[in-house]
Amino acid sequence: MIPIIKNRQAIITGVGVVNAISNNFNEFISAMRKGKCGQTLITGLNIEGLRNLTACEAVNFDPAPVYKKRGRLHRKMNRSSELVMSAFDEALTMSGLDPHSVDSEKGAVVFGSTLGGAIAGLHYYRGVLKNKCRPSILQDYSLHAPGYRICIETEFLGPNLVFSSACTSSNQALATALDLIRFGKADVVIAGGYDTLSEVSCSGFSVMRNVSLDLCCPFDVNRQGLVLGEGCAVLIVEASDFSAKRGATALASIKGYGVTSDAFHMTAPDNTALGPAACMQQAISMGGRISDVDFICTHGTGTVHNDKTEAKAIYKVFGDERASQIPCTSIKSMLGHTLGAAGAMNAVASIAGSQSGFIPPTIHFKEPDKQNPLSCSASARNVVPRLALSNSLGFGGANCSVLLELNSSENKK
Amino acid sequence: MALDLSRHIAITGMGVVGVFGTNAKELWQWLDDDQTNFGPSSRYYSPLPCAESVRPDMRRMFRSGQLSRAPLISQFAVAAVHMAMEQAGIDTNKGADVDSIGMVYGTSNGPGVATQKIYDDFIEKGASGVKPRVFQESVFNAPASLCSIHFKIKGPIQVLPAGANSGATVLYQAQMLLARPSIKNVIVLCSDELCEAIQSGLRALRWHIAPAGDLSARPEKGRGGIMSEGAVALVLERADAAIKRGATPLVELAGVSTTNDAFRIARPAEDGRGLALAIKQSLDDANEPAEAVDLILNGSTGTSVDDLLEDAAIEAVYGDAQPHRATSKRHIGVAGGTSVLFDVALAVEVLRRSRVPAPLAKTTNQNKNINTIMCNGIGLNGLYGAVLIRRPVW
Repeated sequence: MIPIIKNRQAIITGVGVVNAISNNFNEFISAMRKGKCGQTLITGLNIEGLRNLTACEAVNFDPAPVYKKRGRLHRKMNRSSELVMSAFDEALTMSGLDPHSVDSEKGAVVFGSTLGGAIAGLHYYRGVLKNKCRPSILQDYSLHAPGYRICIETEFLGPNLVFSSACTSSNQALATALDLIRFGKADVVIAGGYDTLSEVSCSGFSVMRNVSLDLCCPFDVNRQGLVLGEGCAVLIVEASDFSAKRGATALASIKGYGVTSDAFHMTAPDNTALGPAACMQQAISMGGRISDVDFICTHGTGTVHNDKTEAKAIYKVFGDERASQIPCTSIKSMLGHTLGAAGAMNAVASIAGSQSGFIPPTIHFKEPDKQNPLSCSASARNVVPRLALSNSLGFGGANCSVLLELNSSENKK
Repeated sequence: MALDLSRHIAITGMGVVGVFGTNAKELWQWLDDDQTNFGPSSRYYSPLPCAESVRPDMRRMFRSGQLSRAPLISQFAVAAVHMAMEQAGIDTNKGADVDSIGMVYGTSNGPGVATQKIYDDFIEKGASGVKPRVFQESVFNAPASLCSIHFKIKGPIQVLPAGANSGATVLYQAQMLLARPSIKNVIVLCSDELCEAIQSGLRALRWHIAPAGDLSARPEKGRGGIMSEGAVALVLERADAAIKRGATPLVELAGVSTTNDAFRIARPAEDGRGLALAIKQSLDDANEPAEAVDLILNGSTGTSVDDLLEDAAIEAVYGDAQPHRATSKRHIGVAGGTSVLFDVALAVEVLRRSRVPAPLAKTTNQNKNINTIMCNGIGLNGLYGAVLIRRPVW
């Protein structure tokens, strides 16, 4: 049956994050305020033959606390699961939620990932070619394996979904978290996105020639391309009635989303920008007013065509005057393109900004494009965002925007 | 009093591609004639049996050389969507509202051949040896993107890999999409292709049947799964809207659920708790009691643990009054993420023809009226689903 929409909000009560510039939320706030750049020489992978020798690798991530919490005998996970469990631990602690207080059938897990267990896949395959088959490596290969680990720990019996719609994956996860809650299918959704740097992603983007050989400079007139990143962002999303009962503090709420498709090309964006514009309009009309949007956390990969298309779409939606004034940010300038995790990273970055009273910077930004220039800044701006639009525009023309009402302590006053 | 159909979902179009052929009639005939075609792959060397799909003639169907060079997983998908849209009477070249059509795509392994090619190129030639075209074809959403481009679908495109439970997952998501007033039709699509690395990996995990004895033999219960491939596409819409536009509802998608068992990585709960919950939720969704189910199409892939947990789940839900059970997998194999939708396609044909294919009826002793069919889904890492298909009451 088609579900009925219930009168309940999707409240975010906890977040956790790991990426190239931080290992937790507080570090993320501090790193973004300072405009830290996570781009370094790739160390963890065999990069022979790559055009680009740098990426935003989570080099300071230490999975030891993840294992320590679960006991020393806990079996080794792959990097995807380590990143996810680390961010999950932080998000759950921040939310103060006891997952066992949730009706297990009303607990769900929804993630987004582009390449999931790519590291495990190649590792296993190398072994097979050398007649050293290790099937245990494949246990974490499936994209929903990290989510399943969360289900096991929380004893949630609801859906364990994972979206793999390229860069829109985790924005689609957040959109679905809202749906599961407003349709009454879940009281609590653990949502997020993850992707690891892998030989497959590095090689693939390298040969596609959309990777910058220099720094990542989204929306700058001299931008050269994207820089790959890795990480995980997890958000605890609760139904408003459920979170109110336990007196949880709301960091933000998911107010709306839009999902469209360009139906244009397998990799190139449609330069009419109609798809992304429709997507943003859907998100805004579902959960707010266009005049109230005061921050756009852009997709902003740093490629010539993607940024051009996104800026054009922003101008279509907001009109010339507002589009040139609304503070825009691409956090990919700092932590790289985390692929399937990008939407969730944007959401956590927006919450970080609202909690600490600043708009995250677009570092390396110097000179705006002549056409459809956006209001980006290379340094953090002391403005408290209240209603943020977070965009994801993916390979194959998939677009997803999410509208977030941010709940800083100042907003509550 | 008129029946309120605004929440009911009609399936108005269906396209299938598999070992049996490239349409639903051939699927029925295959099962009714008790056919199998298990054997070693003709596309790569492996001692393991499999069931290769008939290849759709893309040049004839679309007059497109480009589509015929796409990965098989995408060819299966495009062909299935084409047939489903044609049956539903939706033509995006003739005025269909492309913004109001969404697509939810599911797969178990995605474009495995392209992924294996990347691995081979990377290992042999290094990073620069990877081909850009192969990389763009390797991502999970590639088949869905190709469909959206080919059929000019501009509504939401969602991609959910969920192992052999993908079919239930995409239907679950489609229900929610149809709740959006702006969405008129949702195309649910699952496709998977055979791939050497994945087949051998599944054997290493002891899921796949061992390469012993006669490779063409039908799998015995509990010995393991046999990999196959193919695609199924279904067009879903609100029942009232379907009737209003003059479409013929094939069946009703009455209830859907997807759950997990929260048990152990790579080891499902043998008490069937995850599947039992999925079945109960699917019945609740359809407002039907367990006794209403006339036939169960088994989700078990053929492994002993799947058989065990499905038996336990069915016992838990239906008790002593268990409906008759049948499996399509002994004839068409386990087509990865397409498995559940193959069973939905079979359910459509069973309800349309008012009988069970003879070999399946033999095992189920099923000859009574069938109005409601439950299709179970069992995926790796504790994923379960249940889909209730009902003869339309309108």
